[in-house]
Amino acid sequence: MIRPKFLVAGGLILGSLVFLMYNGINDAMVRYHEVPEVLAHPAAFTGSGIRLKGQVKPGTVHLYKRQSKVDFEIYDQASKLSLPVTYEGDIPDTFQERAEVVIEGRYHEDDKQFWATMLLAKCPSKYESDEELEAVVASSAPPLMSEP
Amino acid sequence: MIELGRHSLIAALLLCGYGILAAFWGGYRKHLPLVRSSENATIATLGLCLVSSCCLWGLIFQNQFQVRYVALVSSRNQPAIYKFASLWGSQSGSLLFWTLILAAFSAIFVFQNRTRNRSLMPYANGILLASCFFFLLLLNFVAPPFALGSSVPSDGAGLNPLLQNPYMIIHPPSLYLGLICLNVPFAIALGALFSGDLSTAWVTATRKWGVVAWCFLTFGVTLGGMWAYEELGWGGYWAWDPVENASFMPWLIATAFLHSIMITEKKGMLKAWNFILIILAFELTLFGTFLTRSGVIESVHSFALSNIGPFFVAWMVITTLMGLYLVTYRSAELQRKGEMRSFLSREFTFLLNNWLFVSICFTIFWGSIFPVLSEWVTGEKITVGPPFFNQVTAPLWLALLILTGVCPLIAWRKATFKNFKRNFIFPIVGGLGGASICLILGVRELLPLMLLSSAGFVGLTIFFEFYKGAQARQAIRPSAFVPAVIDLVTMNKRRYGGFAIHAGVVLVFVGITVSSFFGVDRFFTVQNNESFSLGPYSMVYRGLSKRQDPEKDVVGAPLEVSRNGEIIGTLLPEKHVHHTAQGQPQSEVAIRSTLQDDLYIVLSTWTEDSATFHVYLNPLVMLIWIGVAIMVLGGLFVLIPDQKKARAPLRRLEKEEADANA
Repeated sequence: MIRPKFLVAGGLILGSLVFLMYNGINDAMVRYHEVPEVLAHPAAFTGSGIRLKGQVKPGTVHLYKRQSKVDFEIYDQASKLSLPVTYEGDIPDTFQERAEVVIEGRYHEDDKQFWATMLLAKCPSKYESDEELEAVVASSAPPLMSEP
Repeated sequence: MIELGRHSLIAALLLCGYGILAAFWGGYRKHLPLVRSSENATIATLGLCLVSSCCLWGLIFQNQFQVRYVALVSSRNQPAIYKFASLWGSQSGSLLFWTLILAAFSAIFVFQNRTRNRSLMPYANGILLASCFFFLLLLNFVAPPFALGSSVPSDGAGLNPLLQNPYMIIHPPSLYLGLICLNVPFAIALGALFSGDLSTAWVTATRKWGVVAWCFLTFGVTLGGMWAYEELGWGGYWAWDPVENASFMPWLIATAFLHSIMITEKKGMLKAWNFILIILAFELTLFGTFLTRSGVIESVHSFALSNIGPFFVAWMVITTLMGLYLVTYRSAELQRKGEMRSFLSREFTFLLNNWLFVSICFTIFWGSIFPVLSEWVTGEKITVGPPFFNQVTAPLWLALLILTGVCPLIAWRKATFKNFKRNFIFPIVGGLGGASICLILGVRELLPLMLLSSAGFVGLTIFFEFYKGAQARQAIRPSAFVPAVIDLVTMNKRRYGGFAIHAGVVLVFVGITVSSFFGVDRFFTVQNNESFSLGPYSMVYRGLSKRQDPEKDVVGAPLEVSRNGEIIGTLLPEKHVHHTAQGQPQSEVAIRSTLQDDLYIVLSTWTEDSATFHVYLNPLVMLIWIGVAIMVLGGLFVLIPDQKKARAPLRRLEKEEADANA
């Protein structure tokens, strides 16, 4: 038999792990939302940080010349709606028109802008289906960042 | 060549199928020729996988773009070395490469055990063949590497430029070697359960293979961090990305396993627990592959989305159920011999170490799949970022670090105050001294303070261990101090190799703590010939330089760097725009690494007369790489067999020490 005191020790460790994780999740969680939700209830999203997923709408990208900052619109394919975004920080190399992006930040009601503090962009060349491969091979999209 | 590659995959599948049946039937009926035949099937499978891989390499080098995989991962202008690496550049090729390595490990294992471990060999070999069989099924029916595209493009898409760097050549293979090598201890463990021969032979065999796998994994996980550090350009080396986590979780469990198996070897305890751990480690290697390739979790560097996810889930379920069934079936034989008595004993600290490793792994697992779980349960997708992992695992890491110092020195069964004083009083004083130095240097946060002073404590325990051992040697055979240390270490490689690994761990802890708590970064926008400074470094921007390579355009921003007023050279952060891959630009970070700190500069944006840089000053990052190198070398050192004769006096020494403790 296992001695009871070792069971107690195990229980204590398990308990503190649960406590640590519960705290960690509460402190660090970020919710995913949709562009239409933010447009419909802007007031609900000004307080806490949220994540949005969408595409970079072509023709809306404006890179600032003197700082690492970019304005663009995030486009939701399902609803065809878009939302203006301002982001300051490291612009990922994979960021370009039509790229899939995930942004994190807050919505500011006064200037109707989403102020992003995190920007992730996915490289569009990672799909393996035949059509997408041919699109990749055939396309010669002009580089976005070569001359801002 | 396409046909040859494809047919050898079919032949390998059939051969594996035969081998599994022969192995299990032969083992069950104790029919030696059949068992030998199954072992030959393993070797032949390696041959066929090699033929198939060479075919794919050949097709890549000959620019045979009618093969879909070749068109995807290679292009005409791609340098030869990246053509070589593109074998594992995407899904089906990397599965082939995986199978090749698995077959190679299986064949080595078979050769190594032609005369040893005969009771468990048929089953262990059968399980390795089954693993090969699973991957060959995928290669033949789900992700065929030799499939033709619907048209023949004039040039291929080329390997993703993010992957075109030296790490791509070495990082995936070393990680694969580690993950796949874990198949062998898993197979030995299950083989032992199947055969019912649970004597110590299997323990020794799994431990050795476990150490090999652990070395590869340590190396591979670290290379992943180095790749992220030098290529992704965000200034850090670990982002708790699901893909990184996927490679880290098996490492954690494998490390726990290597510790628990020592207790089994020495005290006959924790037997069933070992089996659970090795099964878990094996499942996590599959889970990692599943996570990376199924598209279940979003990651910044997942490779290809595909349909292989369900197959991995099925295989994981089958192997887990089989493993757990066998453990329950043999539970009577897995009764432990000794009994744990006290909290203050080496047995208990080892158990605690195991709980901590498993807890950390569970935290990482939970955090990685949290978005998926929360979407299932609440319909709302919630993600937890790096703060979750840092916050939850930090106390666990701290406890683990302290145990690193306590575990190897505390007495078996029950520690006495004498034992405590003898081993720990100086290191504790030293650790507290370290804490006061940190306080004087201006460290005010609790966590780094505790981590650094614990690191000092552990470092001192290790130092005293070598020191006292060497003194004991000198007492037996008078010699100078350094030869005495060498003598000591070579006579008991397992013990002192282990201490060396722990010393590496201490360095890694110090490096990670200091670089994450005391690093600084800033953005600078400057005109031509304008200067700026961060910490002891100042930089002068000397205007843009542009050049065109055959496969890419390059924009560079040379910076003259000086440290404390002394010019130390030019750094050149760059942006590359590859002609393939849709003109996707890629940052080439400029890093100046010294033991003290790394100056890390990213070219952010630019105009004709100005440029914006993101400059990081990361202290002591080099310690991490050095620490890992020591860990891996320590692991390899442990594997060198001890000479039996040379060990005898040391055994006496150990016995004397044990008597003194009691």
